Amino acid sequence: MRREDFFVKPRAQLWLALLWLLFVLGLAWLVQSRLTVSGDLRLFMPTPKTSEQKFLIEQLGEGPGSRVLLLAIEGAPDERLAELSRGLRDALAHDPAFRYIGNGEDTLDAIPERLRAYRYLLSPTLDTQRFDAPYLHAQLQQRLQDLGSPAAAMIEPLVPSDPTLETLTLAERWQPPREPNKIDGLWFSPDSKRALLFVETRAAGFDPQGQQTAVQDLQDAFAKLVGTDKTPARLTISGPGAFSVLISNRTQYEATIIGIVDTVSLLLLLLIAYRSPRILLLAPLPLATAGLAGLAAVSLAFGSVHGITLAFGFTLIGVVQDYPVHLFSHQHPGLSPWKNVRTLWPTLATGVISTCIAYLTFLISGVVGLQQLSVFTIVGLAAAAICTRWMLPALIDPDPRDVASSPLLGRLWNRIDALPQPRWPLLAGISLIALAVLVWAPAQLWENNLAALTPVPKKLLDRDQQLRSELGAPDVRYLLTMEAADADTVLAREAQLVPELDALVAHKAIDGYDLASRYLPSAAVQHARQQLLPDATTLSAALSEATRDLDFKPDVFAPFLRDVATARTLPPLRARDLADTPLALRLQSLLQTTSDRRARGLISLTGVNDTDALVQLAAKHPGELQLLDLKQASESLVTAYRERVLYTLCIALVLLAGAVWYALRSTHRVLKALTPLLISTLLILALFHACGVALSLFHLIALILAAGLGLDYALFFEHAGEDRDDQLRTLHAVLISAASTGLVFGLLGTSSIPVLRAIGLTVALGVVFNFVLALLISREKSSPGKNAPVLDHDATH
Amino acid sequence: MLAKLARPTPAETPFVELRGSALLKQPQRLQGRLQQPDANTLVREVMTPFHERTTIRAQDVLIERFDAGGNNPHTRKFSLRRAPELEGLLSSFTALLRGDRVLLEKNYSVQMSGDDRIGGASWKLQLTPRDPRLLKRVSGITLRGRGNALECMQLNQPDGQRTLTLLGMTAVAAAKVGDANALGALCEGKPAASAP
Repeated sequence: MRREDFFVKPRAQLWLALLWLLFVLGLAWLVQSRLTVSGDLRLFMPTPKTSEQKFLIEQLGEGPGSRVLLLAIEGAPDERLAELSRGLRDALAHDPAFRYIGNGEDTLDAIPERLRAYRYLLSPTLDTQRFDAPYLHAQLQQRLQDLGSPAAAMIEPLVPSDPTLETLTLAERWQPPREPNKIDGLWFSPDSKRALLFVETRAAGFDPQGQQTAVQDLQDAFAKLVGTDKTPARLTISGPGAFSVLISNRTQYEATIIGIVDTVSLLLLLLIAYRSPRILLLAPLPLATAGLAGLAAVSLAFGSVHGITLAFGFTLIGVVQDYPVHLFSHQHPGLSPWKNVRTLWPTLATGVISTCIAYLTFLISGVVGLQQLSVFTIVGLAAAAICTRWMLPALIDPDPRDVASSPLLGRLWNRIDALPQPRWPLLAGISLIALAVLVWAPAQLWENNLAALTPVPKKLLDRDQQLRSELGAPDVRYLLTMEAADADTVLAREAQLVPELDALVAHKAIDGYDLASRYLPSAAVQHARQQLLPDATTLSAALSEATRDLDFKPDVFAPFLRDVATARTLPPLRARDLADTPLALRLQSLLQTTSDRRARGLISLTGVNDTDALVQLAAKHPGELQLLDLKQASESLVTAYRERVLYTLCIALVLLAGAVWYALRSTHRVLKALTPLLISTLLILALFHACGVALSLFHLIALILAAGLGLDYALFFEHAGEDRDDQLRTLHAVLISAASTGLVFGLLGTSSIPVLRAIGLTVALGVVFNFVLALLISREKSSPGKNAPVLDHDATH
Repeated sequence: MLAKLARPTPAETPFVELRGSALLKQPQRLQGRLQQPDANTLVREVMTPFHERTTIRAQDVLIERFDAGGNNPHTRKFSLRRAPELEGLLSSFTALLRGDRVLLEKNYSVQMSGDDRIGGASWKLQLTPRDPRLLKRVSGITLRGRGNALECMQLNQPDGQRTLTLLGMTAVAAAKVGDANALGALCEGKPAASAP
């Protein structure tokens, strides 16, 4: 009696099952205590090369456009909308999820009291005017009229300290570059039906969790405001962050629904195939072990796991669902489960080890996300194989119904057996046609647009465009950047650029722009303005002359004299002095420090109509001004990334072939094992291309899984040898494997989410092609005495 | 009485306004006309001493100030919300024009005195704002009239400054009056005893 047979005893079985359960629970604990799922797309990006790519990686989801959420409140009378707009702004003013919430209300209090005297250094008035008697007289005459106008209440408190109304000049200057339509001081759509708000989130645009929090906070605050209105107003949230939340929720929702349908049909399939409820408990064990072991390994090695690693990883370990199926199908009365598994093991191990070796190449890809994927898959596959080899045999029913006794299966095999094995010229012909389609069909081969994979419904995009133009929100694609050694130089250069930018606006090349120097002039400019402020005696004399024929009380303007005197001695205002003011938030997104400690100003653009004009502008300032095309940069990154994946895949294929050859040691057998998966892959690619489907990374990952499945099918068919019962059991196992995988991924292929559909369709097609081709090419004819048994069952590799 | 004061639109009346400010040695005297082209719009056009037109529609205030030739208006836009005095005065004024007592009582505690018969003696309506925000800027509004005519509005500020707006026949009578005390007397319904 072999040592292993001892475990078949029921008592030991129980202990083993418990031990295994403890192990899995331990893994689960490890995973949940250590694992943080990161949404940082940068993990999945290759090292950036061009400066645009570098910027994109640094900025990914951080650019001024991508953090912006556009809000519209509608469906109520405009007084109610205004009330809600104010309420929402007040409710979220101190919410840490947001950097800025604008609804159009004036920004008079943008400068804190302690910085008030700086208005003379920040306002451009002194660039063209002097505070002499004639100018002051003209200004004071205006103020007199103001005091007699309905604006008196608003202006009167300002006049003593700020008779030239620099405070208002600055407030106007700091309004968004293209002020939206206003009702009651709040932004509204031109048709007055929607109150508009402009929100900047603290979380990056592609930080799904941060965006989820922000969107949730907005919705909660709004729901609270609306309360129990009879005709409740609606809140629309638009923008990249809102879309990513929407898409991920929809993906999750569909994946859940599909997952439930999958589970139920899979269990039904297993129940029909084996007519044993115990199988239902045992079949998921390897997959569960694989998933948890993979996650635990990634969290130990990397600390955090990328969301995409999870999605891809669970796709790739789908193959382990087949491992127990082989064991179940080959188990029949009179055969010890341990002997059964020893017989299957060489074939199973060949598949697992060669696939694992192939995945090793991802480790050298230089992309963290792919390295995670590699660790996850290798550990997962190994764990599932170990679970199948050393755990399941102890737990399965040693005397189940022999599937080889099924007459239906017998008749099916006879039919299959009657089919001719395709000859090499035919296979070569099919492959050539597929290649020809790939090379000559006119469709676009690769999908370079990341956004195309998670497409936002057209209705929402149109809506976004509309809100964007109504609010004058920055363009998400084009951006100018100005780099210099320090922030002050950036501010100075930006100020010099303003006339050129104004010219672009005048020529309608762009609708508007926003830059840091609009809020904070450079130290030199501030200093120059300071020099133009008159001293106390001069100003006092000018003021006396200016007020001589006006009705102002004497000494009304003492605060003005005091503020000007203060302004003359102030050190220039720097970005850091503005901390905790509303201005700091605007500056944060427009003035940044690069990774190499230089300063970078972002010039956001609205309504880009003529990119050539922007290109020309950038060309006039080589070395400092750069036009960034974020779409182009992200596409070039995707291309670079894909090249790296393809390159890795080629190495993987060579390694895989090498591993299979090492296991099988016969060119003929290697050909039989690898031909189905190669031709299948070609056929899938050709089919997609012929149908005009542009291929994405998701297709590639799914192709890897399909190839792995194909290898397993071929190895098992090839291994089945010529014993009819064994052939029948192998047919049963592969049929169940193919049916269950086909079912799971076929359902995924019906999803409305392109990512899920890409993975689902690719794998489902792969299952069909690989199954048929493996059956035709890799099986042995059941005519006796032709070949020796193909594998020495006791041999281990 | 409110019902009698209600006016159909469009309506127009001349006005003379005396507006005090803590910054000024003496109140400014403004003259012009008030128009109400439709129920939601009020236009206040000052003709002397300068030319300025204010259009108040719903919550938006647009001020256009013209140069000496009546051209090139310099405009300023703001929300009524930023000018609570104006908002207060306006809401009482609109409530009166619409004869809407509920609206008036909602914003003000109202005290009525005098005789409101047509052709009768003068009446007085004293409004005290209920909104504490408004009360900080406006301590009270007094409306005086005779019969169905509103003749004068007086707005008192907590700092002791006041604004008098004479309307209709009173404004016509005040057209040539410059003296602040004389205008005050007119507002209180006394004959325009020309001051020396």
